[in-house]
Amino acid sequence: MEGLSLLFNGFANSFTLVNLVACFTGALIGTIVGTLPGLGPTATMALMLPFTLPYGATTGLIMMTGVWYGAMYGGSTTSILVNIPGEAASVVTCLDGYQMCRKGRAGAALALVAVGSFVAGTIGILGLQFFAPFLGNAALSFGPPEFLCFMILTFILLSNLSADAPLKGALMIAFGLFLSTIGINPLDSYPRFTFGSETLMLGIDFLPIAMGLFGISEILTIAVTKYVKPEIIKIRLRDLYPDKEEVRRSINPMLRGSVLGFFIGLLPGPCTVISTFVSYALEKRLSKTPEEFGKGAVEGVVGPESANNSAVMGSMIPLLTLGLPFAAPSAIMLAGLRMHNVEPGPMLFVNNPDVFWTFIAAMYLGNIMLLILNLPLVGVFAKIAMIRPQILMPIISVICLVGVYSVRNSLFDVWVMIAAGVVGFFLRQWRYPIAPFIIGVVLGPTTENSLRQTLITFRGDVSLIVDRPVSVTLLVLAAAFLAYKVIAIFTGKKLVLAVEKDDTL
Amino acid sequence: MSSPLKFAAFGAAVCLAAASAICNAQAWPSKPIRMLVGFPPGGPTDVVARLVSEKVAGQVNERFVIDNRPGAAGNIAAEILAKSNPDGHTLLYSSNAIALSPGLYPKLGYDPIKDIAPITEIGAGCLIVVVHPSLPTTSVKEFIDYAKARPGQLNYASSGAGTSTHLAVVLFSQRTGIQAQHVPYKGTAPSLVDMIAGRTQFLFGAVNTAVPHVREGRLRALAVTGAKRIQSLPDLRTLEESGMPGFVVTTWQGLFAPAGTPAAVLAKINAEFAKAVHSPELKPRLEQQDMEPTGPGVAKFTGMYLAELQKWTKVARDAGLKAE
Repeated sequence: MEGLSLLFNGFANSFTLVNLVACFTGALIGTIVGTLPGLGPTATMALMLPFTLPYGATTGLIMMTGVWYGAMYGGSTTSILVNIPGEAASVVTCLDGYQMCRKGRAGAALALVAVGSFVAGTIGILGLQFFAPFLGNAALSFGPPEFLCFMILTFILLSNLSADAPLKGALMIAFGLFLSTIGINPLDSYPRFTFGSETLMLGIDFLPIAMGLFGISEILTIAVTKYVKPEIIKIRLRDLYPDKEEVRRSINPMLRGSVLGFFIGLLPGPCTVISTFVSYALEKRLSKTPEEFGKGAVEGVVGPESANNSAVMGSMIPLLTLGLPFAAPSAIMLAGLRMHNVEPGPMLFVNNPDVFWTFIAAMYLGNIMLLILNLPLVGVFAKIAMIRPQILMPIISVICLVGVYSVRNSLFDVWVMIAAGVVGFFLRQWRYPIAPFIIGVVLGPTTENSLRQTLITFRGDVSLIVDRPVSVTLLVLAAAFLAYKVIAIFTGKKLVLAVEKDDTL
Repeated sequence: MSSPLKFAAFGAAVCLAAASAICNAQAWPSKPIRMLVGFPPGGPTDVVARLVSEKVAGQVNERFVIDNRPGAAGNIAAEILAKSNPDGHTLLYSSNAIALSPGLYPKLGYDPIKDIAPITEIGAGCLIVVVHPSLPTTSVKEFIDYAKARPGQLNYASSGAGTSTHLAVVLFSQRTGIQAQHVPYKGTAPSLVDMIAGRTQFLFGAVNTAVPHVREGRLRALAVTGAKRIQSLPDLRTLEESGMPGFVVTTWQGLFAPAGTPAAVLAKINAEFAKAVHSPELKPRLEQQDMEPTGPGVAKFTGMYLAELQKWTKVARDAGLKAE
């Protein structure tokens, strides 16, 4: 098969020293950047862009994808260990990952995440390899109406996250949506809720809120809780790695997350973040023990983390086949490719096929490299969780403060993070779920923009949506989920078993 | 103090001041230079800013630190520049957004004429007029007739309200009398997706992103908006050639300093950047981004900047576009 021989050539090319070093460097830097809260893959890739110039298109592409990829691997580490999202796509991992850590299963969580990311990456690369041209065209058919329906479906799926306290959850989503409207809307350049302040015109970035709500509030909660010195338990090797039960439960979420993430990666916008939310909601709905979610359900950790890794690969498809970058990191890669005189698009397969296949081969290698890099480190990282809070918390606080400043060079973001931390602290005390708040902030802008663009193109006539099969399908799915919920209420069957009183999401 | 002494003191002060100005120019740069960029890292403006800064850094043996301050279409970065020390060590790299936004935001935190000292233009590009292939128009004139026959029915995409892709069409509509519905998108990529899918009918888009699709046949190009034809599609006429004399829209990127920076320093910075822009390493890279490297002198660029400012402010006011 021609594809295989091209892939073989790709492997041969990627085994050059330059490419291997580029792959490793990119993956390593990406992992570090992903672990550090605040600094994300986008800024790092932009910084590295000039350095890749002397080495040619393929090497540059390999290095930069390695960074993005590695960031998805690394982001989960701090989420699991200290409840601080390393970057936006790791927020959902905090929900259950940190609880697993509290139960002493940190090593298991980290190992499962590493393996899940590897599996997802492989599936993603396979998808990219075989389906790239076909899916590229399919991505074109996803316009604002489809996106709007997808968002409606997502909101309905995610409503399950706070099924035990629906009014509080609704309040949190509403508040999150409100916060997302602050700033200048790019659609009409009209400032909203800015009170004339230029800093507020920047809008409130999602990452400081997430870091504050999860990380800083956790630090504050620990600060006011009486410290109970844990008994010195010798860490058995068994604790560092997942047991049979956890592995068995992880297989399906891993596969589901990979496929789901890959397709969501095709969509424009913050695809990696959205993929984690959708995966989490899906896993919770499909699980036989949904009450465990929020208390350390391994499915809730593995699913989202697999999803965000394959979303990276999915995101490469519109970039390579159409030349359209749908996410910020792919925009940088587009710039990089252009600088090397490689024009992505259907001509890529004709003019520079070696770029594409070497890239695929290097991604397989990079995946393996990351797994080899991360698995042994699991033990080291798990021990970090054992460090006394008196030492760990101040270090984490400083890293957070610096990290959040580094995103936009804005002191305002630091204040937002601190304020969100205080708010999060009180939300926890009063048992309000935090996850819906984040959902509102993340999904708000995309939903609103899609809604407005749809209304503009339809000239206000919403019934035109029936002409669009994809939108109709998504709406039908959403209606089905909603109907299921409503029927369940009437038949008295509880979808989510009662949650104990001292639980917050 | 006696009169001659006063005079001598005054004379000495003047000499010292002049000397310090000259010293400044010779001493520029004396420390790392902060390059403000009003857009997030990785965007087209930022990428070129980094390329050019790196080249100049090599020329003058001093580091450039890129400081991304995105927000409000580059206004935040411009405001920071206006309030910075005018010693030539804080500069702003901006796209033509700096000339567009004053028309849209009347309450700016800085005065776009008094607080900014333009230095040079790095490169100039233009927009390309593309329509969806389903439209039966193959020339600008046919398109204008087609659009006039359907007021309010055609949609046009833009990469955001207030960007040049939007305002260029506003100007075009004012000149030709067509009425079309503006559909704003967040950035270039989503606007192109909907153009290719046919959900919007025409677009005045950035050349380097639209040309690949024109070559594929997914979009049909009618004209370019610049004063000259573009290299990648040499057969494509300009709007002026297509029957709209005087209609020129360029997308440029330029370098700015706070007002009050000594003229000698401005001249030195201008010289360095002009040299970099025409250098054999940088020239092809700029042309790849469909920007023609220019590097005019300070006075010429200042005149150009003021003209652009006036032009787009008028367009925005006439169209009634104003963000409060």
